[in-house]
Amino acid sequence: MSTRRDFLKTAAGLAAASAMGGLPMSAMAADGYYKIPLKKPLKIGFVYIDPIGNIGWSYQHELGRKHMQEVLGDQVQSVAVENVADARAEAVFRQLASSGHQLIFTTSFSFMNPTLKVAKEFPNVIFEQATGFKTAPNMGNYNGRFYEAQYLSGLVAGAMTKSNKIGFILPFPIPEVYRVVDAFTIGLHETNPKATVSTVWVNTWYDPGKEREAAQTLVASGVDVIATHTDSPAPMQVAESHGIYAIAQDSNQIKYGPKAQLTGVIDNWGPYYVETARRVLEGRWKPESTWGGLKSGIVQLAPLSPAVPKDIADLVMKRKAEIENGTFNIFTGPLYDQSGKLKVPAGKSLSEGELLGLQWFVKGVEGKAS
Amino acid sequence: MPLRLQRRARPSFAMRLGAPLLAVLVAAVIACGLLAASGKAPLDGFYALFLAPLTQASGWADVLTKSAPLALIGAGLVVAFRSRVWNIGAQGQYIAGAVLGSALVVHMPESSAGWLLPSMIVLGVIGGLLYAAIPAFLSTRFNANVILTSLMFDYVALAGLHYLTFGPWRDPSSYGFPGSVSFQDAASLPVIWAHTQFGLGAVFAFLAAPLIWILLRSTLFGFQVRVSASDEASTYAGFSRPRVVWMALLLSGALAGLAGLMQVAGPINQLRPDIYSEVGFSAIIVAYLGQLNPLGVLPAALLVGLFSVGANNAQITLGLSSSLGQLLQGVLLFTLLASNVLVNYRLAKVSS
Repeated sequence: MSTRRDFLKTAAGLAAASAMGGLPMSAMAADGYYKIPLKKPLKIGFVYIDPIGNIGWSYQHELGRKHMQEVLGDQVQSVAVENVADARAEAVFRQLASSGHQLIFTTSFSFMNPTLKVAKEFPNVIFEQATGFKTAPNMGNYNGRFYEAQYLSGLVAGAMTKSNKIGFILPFPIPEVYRVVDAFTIGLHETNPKATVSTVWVNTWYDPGKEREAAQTLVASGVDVIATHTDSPAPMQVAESHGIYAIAQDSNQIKYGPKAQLTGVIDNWGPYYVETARRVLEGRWKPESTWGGLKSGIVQLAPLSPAVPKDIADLVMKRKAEIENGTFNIFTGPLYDQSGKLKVPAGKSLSEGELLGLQWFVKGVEGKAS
Repeated sequence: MPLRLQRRARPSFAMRLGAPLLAVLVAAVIACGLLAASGKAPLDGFYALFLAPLTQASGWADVLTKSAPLALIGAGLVVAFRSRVWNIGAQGQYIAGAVLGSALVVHMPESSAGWLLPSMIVLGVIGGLLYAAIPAFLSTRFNANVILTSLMFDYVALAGLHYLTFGPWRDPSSYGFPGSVSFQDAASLPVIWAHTQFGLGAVFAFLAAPLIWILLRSTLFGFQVRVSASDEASTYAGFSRPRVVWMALLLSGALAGLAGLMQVAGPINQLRPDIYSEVGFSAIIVAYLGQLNPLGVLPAALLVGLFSVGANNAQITLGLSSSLGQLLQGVLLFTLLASNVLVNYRLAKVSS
């Protein structure tokens, strides 16, 4: 099952660690498993930042939880706490840890510091935090290479746009967001060098009202494909109602955009949750940083719309196979930043460490970088 | 048989105690209906929401931690509301205190000086006090409506908080995520109950209510507040209305500012854009639920804190959705406030 996990290169881990100035290196270096006195069935808690709803980031984690529960049956007993604001997160983690939950998945970047704090106080509980970068002896993290599927979506968007203007709705100026926008734009330019990406920051992960407003502003400015890195179906619905295209985020949103959805990014956490819970049950867990993409199955590409021409569909499938077998690197030079400065020379690629800390937009993205 | 409400000659003492019990009973019936309709065992749901947190020590710590800022702000609001000064701006004053107190940490993130925390507390109080001084000035100088000005300044404070946490005060190592640096130990109120978030700040927060109670009973200002209910009485006593407005706003603002500082230097441990989400306007509910009595604020704050912890607990133990938890809390609050009518009124048959 180890193929399911793409481990961060040690260098990347070290870079992140030194940037933070205080990470328990001994835990990362040790190859021994972290053992806890297990009670069976293993009680597992999941904490979500937004309401589960029926689409989006937290919904996909909930699907993962249910998949895990189904596969592992009565070996595990899992619960989900939804709609947990950042300021409330620590209290919820404590509540789970002190009510017998021995494996806790905290599924937001903003949960990282509270998770670390609670992990230190509950050594008999194992924590797994999504999308962050800190670890502890009893805390690992995991993330998806969503940018791989966004690159493929960019290939499709480039072929389908007529106005050569794409809109991208963005939550927070963090590396994950720069990665998906840059990868998308690189794909976009591969099929359509003239197209540009307009960005709108909404400063929220989930706010259907704000996301709708942002989408409408983009439509008014002439974009004919909308992508987003936020969690509600509002952008897809706006695209559908205006008869333009959209890229799905987190979930297959075909029911919100039967005509609008071109393709998109689907998060698939189930196999990871099964594997992690199994490791804890069998005493084989250790704190790791997992960053899985298309190959691992954590990230999937949504089905291509029938509107996508055959040659583009073929290109997408070809690139997908190349990404999966490691023969194609999306972030290969020449890459220029927004000001036109050469950031990655021809023949070179961004390293894992540089990708982890990415803070700039490639040329062709319009709008401020934060 | 038609019924109507008839005013009692004097408030009923029996009802003052009985009404909350009746409210809980009515809420329990409604809650059971809602829980049954959503396929959960009603009694289990009620137990998980309202009782289970109190069966564990860590649950108590959680409830107390949640209630502390509400009790502190609520005690201040009692003074304001009793003076008929409608300070709706506690949220803004809370933010102002948190921001001003955090300024020291942002500029000295490494400092371990002993004077750091006391200075932050003082700045927190000053922040809330100065922020409440704005509506006080606008009211006494220009006769501007305090409800409007204090409410509007909530949004100004929020915008300022967002500007700072997304902008100049953002932790440089946060990879762009909004929020200040995490507060160092020297800038944090110590946790005094191991493995919980219950800290020193909460202890002081609960002391505010009895102090306000003494203030209202035993001081001239307290007397001025108590006679504010009647214009004639205040005028007859020769009290200056502007003075009462100033004092009421400054006091409630200072306590709200202190609460804000207490939260960022305590359980939250960081200045973040969502620091108000735990408190919001709940302190107003707490003040009224406590019958505008400083001592009543304590059980009221504990009840609202219990709701919040209970809703999480019901999700964890029963898989109750967070919205259903909030709905049931709303039902209980509604019946509690509605039952108050029975203190001053009684049901009587309409004689035809």
